[in-house]
Amino acid sequence: MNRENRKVLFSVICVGILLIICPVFLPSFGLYLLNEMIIYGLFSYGFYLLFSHAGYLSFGQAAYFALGAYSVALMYKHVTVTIWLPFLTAIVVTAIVATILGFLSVRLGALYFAFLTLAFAQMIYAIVFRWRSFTGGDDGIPGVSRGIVDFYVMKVDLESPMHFYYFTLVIFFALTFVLRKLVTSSFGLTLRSIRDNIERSSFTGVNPQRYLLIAFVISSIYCSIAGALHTSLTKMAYPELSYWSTSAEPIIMTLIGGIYTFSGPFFGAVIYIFLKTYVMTLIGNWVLFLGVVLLVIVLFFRKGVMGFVEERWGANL
Amino acid sequence: MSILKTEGIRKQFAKFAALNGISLGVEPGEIRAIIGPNGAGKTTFFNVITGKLKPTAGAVYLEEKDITGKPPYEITSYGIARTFQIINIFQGLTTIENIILPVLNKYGENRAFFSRPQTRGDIIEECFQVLSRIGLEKKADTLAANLSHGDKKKLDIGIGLARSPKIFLLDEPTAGLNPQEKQSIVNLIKEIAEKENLTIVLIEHDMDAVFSISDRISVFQQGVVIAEGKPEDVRKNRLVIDAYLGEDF
Repeated sequence: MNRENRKVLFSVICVGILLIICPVFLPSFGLYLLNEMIIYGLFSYGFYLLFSHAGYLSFGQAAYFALGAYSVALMYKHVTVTIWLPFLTAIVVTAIVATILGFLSVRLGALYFAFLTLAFAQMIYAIVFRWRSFTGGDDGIPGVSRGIVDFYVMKVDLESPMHFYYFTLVIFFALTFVLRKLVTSSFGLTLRSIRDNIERSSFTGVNPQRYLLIAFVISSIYCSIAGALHTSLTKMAYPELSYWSTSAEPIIMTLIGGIYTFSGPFFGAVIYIFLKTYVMTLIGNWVLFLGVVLLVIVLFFRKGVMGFVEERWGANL
Repeated sequence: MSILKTEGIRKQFAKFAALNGISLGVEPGEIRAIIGPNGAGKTTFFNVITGKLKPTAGAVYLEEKDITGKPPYEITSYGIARTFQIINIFQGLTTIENIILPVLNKYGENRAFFSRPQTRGDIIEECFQVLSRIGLEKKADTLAANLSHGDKKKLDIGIGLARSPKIFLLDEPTAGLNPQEKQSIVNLIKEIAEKENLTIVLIEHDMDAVFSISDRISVFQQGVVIAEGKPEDVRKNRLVIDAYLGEDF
């Protein structure tokens, strides 16, 4: 193992241990925040795969965030509070919707992709908002359960913040590991060839639309699982989850963390939520502050915070 | 039997006919040069064969199989590779990654979701074979954008070569190169044609290169073939001298 790999492994273990032991020391509000950070980290990873590797900016990942949230909320409410079936429903529903909308969105190039994903997401927002009898309209679905993990030999109630935190963390570790595998695989290289030169890519025998569609569906499933966890954490689902401003959040987080670093989206989410929470209480004008932060990032730290750290530390994190 | 055959290819852009009925057959193993003045339709002809453009009329056959109007990725997978007039490589990837992609595709492994191509000994070995053929094995880990112009041209050829095509279309392989680089590209083309028994069709403006490597030459003018034959016959052809070569050649 070379020096750089050792540095990477060391950082991964440190952050991992920190995330595992943190809840013991954190007050309940701190735990809630950390939980939210991890969920938004996952959401950002959903955006990151498509944008940073395939070069396609989706402005509509909120649609899948909301699909996951509503699928789980409705299943908990009407069918079962055991997590398996609700989460499976969220994934299947998302996969079907993302395949159909993705098929229509990837055909015309990256610019139209951004517009089409935005348009489709707004359509889903309109449906969620208007279909009162099913989705609760603008009231949303309050009082959602956090579910129960049923291992047959043992049941874990996720109502406890500590249990729910570790549940989220296990999913986060697993999905991050899978994503890391994906982006370093042949599939990931193929996506980057599409980002780099889509025409040349098709002249090596690759059907770019097919790969973009696969990436889009995987990406949407990540967003959907994040949405499902979010609705469990906050105990409600509401139409704003599918609104375009929600789609902007993983974009901003990824930008802050660094678009071409693997750890960027997660740390971007951590920084974003930390700032949002404390700036809102201490200064008040969050949107203005966010504008300044983005300005500084774009002007001076185009590689993002983690891009900066990577350069200083000499390892691709 | 022709390995590549076109029948009455027409390509119309609004009122302008870029190709006006091109019928042409290329024999297996030959090096065919396509020459002609600018705007004669040479690159458009390549674009129609490789699926970048759909012909207005006519048909393209690869080994008797009709491939007219198929998308580029399908035509590539049938065994037609090409390079481009303007360098067309993956600038943001390393040299070897540029070659890994077509090799992965050849074995249908683009969709290996969880295996790192760098850990696949067989694939990397094959990539290094291609790299050593084009003389870039020492620059495997260089970012393609940082290669010299001549090396980029070679890499462009390497990407095509890596997929082991049956027929290779080269669009002005020596354009913009200094005499030394030109010579090394010409040698490379001769070498791959011999060693792999590869059929090559090339568009070229450098007449020294054309007459030194081609077995046959087709001359295009305004979307039609005005002459075709062995280099020495084409050189003497009155029509070709008037249209393109000039009296002095």
